[in-house]
Amino acid sequence: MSSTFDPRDAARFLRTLRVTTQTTIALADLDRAGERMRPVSTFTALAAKGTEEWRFPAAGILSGDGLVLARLEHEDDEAKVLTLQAQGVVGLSAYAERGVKVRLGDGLQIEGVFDRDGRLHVVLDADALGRADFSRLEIELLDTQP
Amino acid sequence: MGAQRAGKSGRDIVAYFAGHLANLANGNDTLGDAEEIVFVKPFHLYERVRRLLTVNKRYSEGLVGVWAYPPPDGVEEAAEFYFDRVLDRPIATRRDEPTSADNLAALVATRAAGPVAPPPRDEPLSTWKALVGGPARRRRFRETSELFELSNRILKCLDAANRPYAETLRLGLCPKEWLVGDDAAGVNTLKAANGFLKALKAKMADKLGRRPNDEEIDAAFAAAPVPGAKTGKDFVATPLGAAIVSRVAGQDQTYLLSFESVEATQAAEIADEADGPLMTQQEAAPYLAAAVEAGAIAPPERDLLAAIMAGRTLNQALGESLFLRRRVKADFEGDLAAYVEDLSARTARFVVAAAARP
Repeated sequence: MSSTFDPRDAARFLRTLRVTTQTTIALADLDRAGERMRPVSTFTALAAKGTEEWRFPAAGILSGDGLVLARLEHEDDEAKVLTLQAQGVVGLSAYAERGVKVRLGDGLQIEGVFDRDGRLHVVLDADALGRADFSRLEIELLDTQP
Repeated sequence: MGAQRAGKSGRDIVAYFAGHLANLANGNDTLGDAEEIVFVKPFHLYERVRRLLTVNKRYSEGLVGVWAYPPPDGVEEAAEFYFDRVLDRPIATRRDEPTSADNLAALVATRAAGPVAPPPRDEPLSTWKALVGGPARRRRFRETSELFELSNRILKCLDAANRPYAETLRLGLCPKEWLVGDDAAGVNTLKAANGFLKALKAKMADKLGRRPNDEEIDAAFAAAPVPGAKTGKDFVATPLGAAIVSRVAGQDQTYLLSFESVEATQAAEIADEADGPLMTQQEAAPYLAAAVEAGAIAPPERDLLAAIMAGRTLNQALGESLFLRRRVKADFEGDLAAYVEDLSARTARFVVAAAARP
């Protein structure tokens, strides 16, 4: 069959097709890419385990949604501090003064509250460091309403 | 990367960006479906858009074209320039009619759920100012058809405002160098220059990485002249013409990216200058039916597009169709969005061809 269409109506159809498919895809991508606010945020870069201890990038690692930067700092021989810092206005409005659960692999879960500057320090003692798996780091908001 | 995935990387990226902006301005990234009100905070929204342009590679490469910016500029600087020159570019009025930005602002104003500041009338509105300059407290576009209309009006703004930027990227040149300053080129010159570049590539049999000879330049100019120059030799002596020839002769990766990526993406936008409102599902049905009859799309694919036009999410539209699920899995590595883009492109090609028939 060879259909013919009025060019003006065809242009309206093409525009409708263009707008509806791309707007729907954009919404799906907001969900899929984690840009839509979700209670759980994971970190894309992974820390590596050396022969003795975890090696964390000195510049820190950024969560998949780009809202939180995690850094591992030395406290003393026995303990380390995992510092989580919300990034930018969006990160601050998402995390400042909100409670989260920090998961380091399957073996360790720690709850904490970001301060008003969007910072959270998680102190890891020797026991926690032994159980922590830094190759799987994620944070979960405990109250899902911003 | 398969052919379909490559196609998805940027085809009609302007419409995708308009859809993204509509969703963000409507609070769809933070609010639940049941929430009726959204507070639009300009700087907050700006941060989200800036992050989108820098973090999302589809945007940073396909829309912003960070590859065209020479060091030390990086993705942050490129995104900032894109924001200033495209999103916040004032859209000038023609014949005293409302601009696409005025129409967007008018739609936004209908959603007021609180005080509305009077719009500034001393300068033309930009897409951005139309989007954030209305009421801060708004009733959300909760019906999908309403959200589509918001996206449609944003797209009408972007189709105009993005064009000079996209034409510069298509040339493989840095927008920061060619859209401002003494050598700034107008959109018609840029479009004509792209025509010249396309003709030049054809004359060179697509064997780039060398300087074209005089015969090739003259033949290309005869096929696609550029306003302001009398001959091909004249044009390649201008700063813009010289930059284009240098880019063609370059051995670096930039020209490969620009020609193959942008030419296949933004250049492939459908030139739809439709003035009327978006079609209803019922109005669109005959076009989808004709596409099925012609074998351009399969019946389950027609149903998928109809469901999207009716406002279903991608997963809802996919439904339980085994045909569609197999196609997505087998041919698109499970990427439903890539499949929908391919389907949309096939349907558009059919309709464009049908509309062109006498």
